[in-house]
Amino acid sequence: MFQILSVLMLTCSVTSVSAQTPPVTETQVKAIFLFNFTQFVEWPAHAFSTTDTPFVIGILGKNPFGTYLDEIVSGEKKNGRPMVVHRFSNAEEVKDCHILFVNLAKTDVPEAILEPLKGKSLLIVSDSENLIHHGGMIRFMNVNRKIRFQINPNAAKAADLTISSKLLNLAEIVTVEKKK
Amino acid sequence: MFFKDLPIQKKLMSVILMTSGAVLILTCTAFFIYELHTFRQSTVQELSILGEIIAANSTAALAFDSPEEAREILSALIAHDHIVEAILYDVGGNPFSAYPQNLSLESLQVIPKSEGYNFTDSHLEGSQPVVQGTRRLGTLFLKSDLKAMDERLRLYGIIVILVVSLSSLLAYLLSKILQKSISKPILSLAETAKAISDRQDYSVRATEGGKDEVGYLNDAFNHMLEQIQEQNRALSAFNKNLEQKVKERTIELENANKEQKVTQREVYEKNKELAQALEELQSTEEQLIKMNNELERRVNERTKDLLASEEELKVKNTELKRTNIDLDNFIYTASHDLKSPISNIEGLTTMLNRLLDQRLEPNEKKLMDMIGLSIIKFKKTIADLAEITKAQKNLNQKMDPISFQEVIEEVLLDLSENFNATKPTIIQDLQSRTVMGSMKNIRSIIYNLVTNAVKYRSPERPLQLEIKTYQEAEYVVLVVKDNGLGINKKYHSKLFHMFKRLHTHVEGTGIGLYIIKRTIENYGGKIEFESEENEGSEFKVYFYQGIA
Repeated sequence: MFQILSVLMLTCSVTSVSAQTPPVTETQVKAIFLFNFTQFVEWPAHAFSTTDTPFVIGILGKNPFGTYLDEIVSGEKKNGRPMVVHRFSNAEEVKDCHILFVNLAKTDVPEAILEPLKGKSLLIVSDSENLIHHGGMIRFMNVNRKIRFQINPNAAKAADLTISSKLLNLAEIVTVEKKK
Repeated sequence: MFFKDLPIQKKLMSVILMTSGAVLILTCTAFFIYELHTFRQSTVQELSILGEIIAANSTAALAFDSPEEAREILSALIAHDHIVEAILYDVGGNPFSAYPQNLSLESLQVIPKSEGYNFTDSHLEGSQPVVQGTRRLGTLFLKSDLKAMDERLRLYGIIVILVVSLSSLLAYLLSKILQKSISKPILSLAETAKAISDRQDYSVRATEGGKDEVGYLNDAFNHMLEQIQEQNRALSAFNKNLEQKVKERTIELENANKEQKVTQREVYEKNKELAQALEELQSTEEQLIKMNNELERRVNERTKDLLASEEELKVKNTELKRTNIDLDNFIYTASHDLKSPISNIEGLTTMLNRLLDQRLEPNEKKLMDMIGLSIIKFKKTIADLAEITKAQKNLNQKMDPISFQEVIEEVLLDLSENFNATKPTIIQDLQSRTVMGSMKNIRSIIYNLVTNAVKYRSPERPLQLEIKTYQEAEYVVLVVKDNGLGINKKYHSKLFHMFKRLHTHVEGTGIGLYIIKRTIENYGGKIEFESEENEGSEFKVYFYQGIA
């Protein structure tokens, strides 16, 4: 009931958004999904150092999107914060970031990459099956030539992130045994 | 006009039924319209809320391009069987998913332009944006049929018809019972009125009715009936009284006639006897025969005249049954017309008596004397009758102040020889010394009263006479009180009747009091009396003196 009400209230402040050109490539679809995740995930207040800290979508590793992600994000806002795309070359650089797309190279060790990101309210997205089993939250998959995804809700909970049930409904849920 | 002629019961019921029917129909119509309006509103609202829910649930499916998920979400609409169509468009306006599933997406290229829900002829349809956060992700189109509303309205229609008919029936039954409290007393009153006018029975009373206006009407009606009854009673009493009076008068007249007849028969018989005596004397008295014949003829003639008068009297009697005025005429006629014949008889008898004086036997002479006495009696009666007519005619006499003292003294002087040896004790108390009237009348009244007191004195005690006068209101009152024989109670009502004689041992005609009453009443006065048998009588004469 509360959900319905909040949805209703949200609809009241809707402004229409211009139609975008339909995505063509798999990568472009992923870029749109990355942006769309911002709509279905809530970050805690401490994820932002100041009130006007921008909302940052980071790319770690090789950038597969070219400028497409920048185009999508341009002018968009999340909870009043302007959205920007940052590129990081290594995990240690990552800070003030909210979504991180990790393009894992074959040589990379997932644990090593995730280690410095621990304790941050950061939504880690990747194509890698490895990463989601070691603390990543979302993994893109290609199912019947369509982009689908897996979600690890426990990892998200650990990072203090709230994922909408609607998003969870669409995803394949992954649970990882915690290593002691 | 038709309504006006309806019986009051039907009228009341029509009024109640029409009023309640109109109120019911108006109320039901108002409720029906209100229900229609609110139901349309709530239908729109329900569809809108359903749309919101579907739209909110569809955001992720749209955002992450999952038509399967969208289809699943839309398939939940199967629980809402009034939804006939639902289409989800993506943000580019292309059909994304549709319900029911057999709907082909290719046929749904047109995205609805306006948002919000509207009624079409048979459906309620409209669209709303699908938004996540502040971001528009697509459009949801919903189409609902109006079966529920139709059913609801049909149900309402049935309820309205049921309520109206049941209420009308109830109103009919209630009004049938309740109208009685108004109509019953009115109907009862109408019945009573009808019964009275049909049967002329005024003893009937209206009984129904409480303390309302109808009750008041009943009371007034009953009161009216009482008055009518009372008047009827008074009228019939008056009629009876009148009849009684006429009867009495008739009897009196018949008695008078009888007396006359007896007298005449006696005269006739005496004449016959005389004729016989004369016949016996014929041989010696030729002339007497002639005279006798003459006398006989004359007597027959007069007898015929008298018989004719008698016939006339009888005719008059019947007339008198209708009116008392004729009585006066008769009295006048009788007194006037009888005067000269009786005088003739008297003269002739005297003549005859003188002629026969020495030759009559003692018993014949006795008969002759009896004839003479009868004639005197007859004359007295006629004179009294004349008095009555005089009393009638004295109305216009001059009114003078008359001194009681003078009149009383005069009367007592006149009567002094009647007092015999025992002189009466006379007590006078004249507070009013004079009275306005005619000397003749006042004298006649006092003379009659005193004469009566003297005539009807008690043989057991000396006569004591009290004469008083005083003023009372507009009357001067004369009281004559004696200690004589008094009058028996049963005769009180007849005391003032003509020829009414209560004591027969003393001579009289029974006309004195009648004349006094007539005289005094002619002047606006009255006469009253009190009497106890063997104790005495008291007469009070009220002389009307005009407004003092």
